[in-house]
Amino acid sequence: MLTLGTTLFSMTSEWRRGADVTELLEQIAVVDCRSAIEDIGHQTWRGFPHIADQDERAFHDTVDRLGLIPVALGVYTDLLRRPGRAMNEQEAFEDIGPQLHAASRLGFPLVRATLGMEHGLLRRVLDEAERLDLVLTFEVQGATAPDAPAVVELLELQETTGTPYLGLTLDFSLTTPALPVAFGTALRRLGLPAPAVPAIHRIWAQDEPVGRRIGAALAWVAGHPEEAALTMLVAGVFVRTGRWQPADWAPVLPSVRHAHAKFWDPDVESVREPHGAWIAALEAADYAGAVVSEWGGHELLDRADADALAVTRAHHDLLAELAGRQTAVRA
Amino acid sequence: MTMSEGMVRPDALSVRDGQLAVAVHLPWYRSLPVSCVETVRVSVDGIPAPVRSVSVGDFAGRVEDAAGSDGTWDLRDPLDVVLDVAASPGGTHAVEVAVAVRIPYMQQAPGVALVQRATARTEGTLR
Repeated sequence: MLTLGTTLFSMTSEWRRGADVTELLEQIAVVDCRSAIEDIGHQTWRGFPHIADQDERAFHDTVDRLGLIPVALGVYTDLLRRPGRAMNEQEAFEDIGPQLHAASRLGFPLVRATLGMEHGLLRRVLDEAERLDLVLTFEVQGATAPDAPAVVELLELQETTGTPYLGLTLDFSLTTPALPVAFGTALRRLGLPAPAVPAIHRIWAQDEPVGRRIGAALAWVAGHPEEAALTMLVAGVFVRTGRWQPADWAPVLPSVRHAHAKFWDPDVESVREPHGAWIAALEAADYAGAVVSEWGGHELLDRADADALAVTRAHHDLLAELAGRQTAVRA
Repeated sequence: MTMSEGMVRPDALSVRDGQLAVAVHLPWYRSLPVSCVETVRVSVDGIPAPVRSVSVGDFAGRVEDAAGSDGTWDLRDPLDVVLDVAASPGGTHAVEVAVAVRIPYMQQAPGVALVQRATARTEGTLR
């Protein structure tokens, strides 16, 4: 049976308005957004990865009191922290290592990092994760291909070492049947002329590699007064809205240790089909991790358009229905 | 809340030692190193305004000094941007702020970081 939960990334608007972790966890518990919790360290705690003893105690006390289960912590290697120079391996290890220790102190059994870590660093970080009894996962999402070199390398390392401490975080955005309605809203609010909006949607749907589709779509925003914001929006959404089917990823599913049920639109019915398909695929692969609801609509919509807690609650009702249906079919 | 929404809030404008100051919130979902601040451009009443200093957390200095900082621009804290624009309480101004911050863990090409560029506007009477 899947464990359902929420990533506090969905509450990004509240974080940016100054909310603290106890307040948001209490709100999530009140609206019954299920029990599993994912956090992003650099979003949740001031000064992360340095966590004061009282903040560590407060987090433990809050999740215990509310019956929540920390399942994943988002960690990062800020390789390009300095302009014009990437961190070397030692610097990168010193950047991410303390984040793993913070995850352990806070009671997270798993961390989620960005796909594409350089091999030497990956081996050192994996060793550290094993020492701390933490599962190290890398996220696959959107247009990422199941045979992408970074994915293949991870799977080979896992096979070679036999380690149970290495795996993937799978994001349901791998299967996005149609662009979110909120994407069109964001394009129009940035002042994109009416003909350009459907044109960009048509380009997204073409049978071309994602890089080529982004290039074609950006031709429609070139020279616009908001070109920089439109470029970020178009490229960012295209790379995070994949057209894979769960069957394409079937050989990889045994390596999945954590999952995001990503959605953008406040109308959660838009993801009924793909999220149902992914829950069925994970169940069929005997997946034993959590599926956390991840709402990205705060990136496309204004705060007045949608309430993060309300849409998360609606999404949980859908996920619970889909997971329950799947269990019933298997029984 | 899009990334630019809430970047410059209704109470963002103030007077600091006779100069106009703007409080600018980070247009990203997580805290970032101060060294990732690339540019801060401000116009006041439609006229480009020189930035005298910026400060957040332990960092205070010119925008170009940010690159060498070990500090953090916390998601919750505004970057305090002081302009070379004389101002006094009671004055009303329209201000536009454009910020570029490097996203240090996202590369659009090998070794080339994604840069988040966000623009926000506000108009208000100085406190």
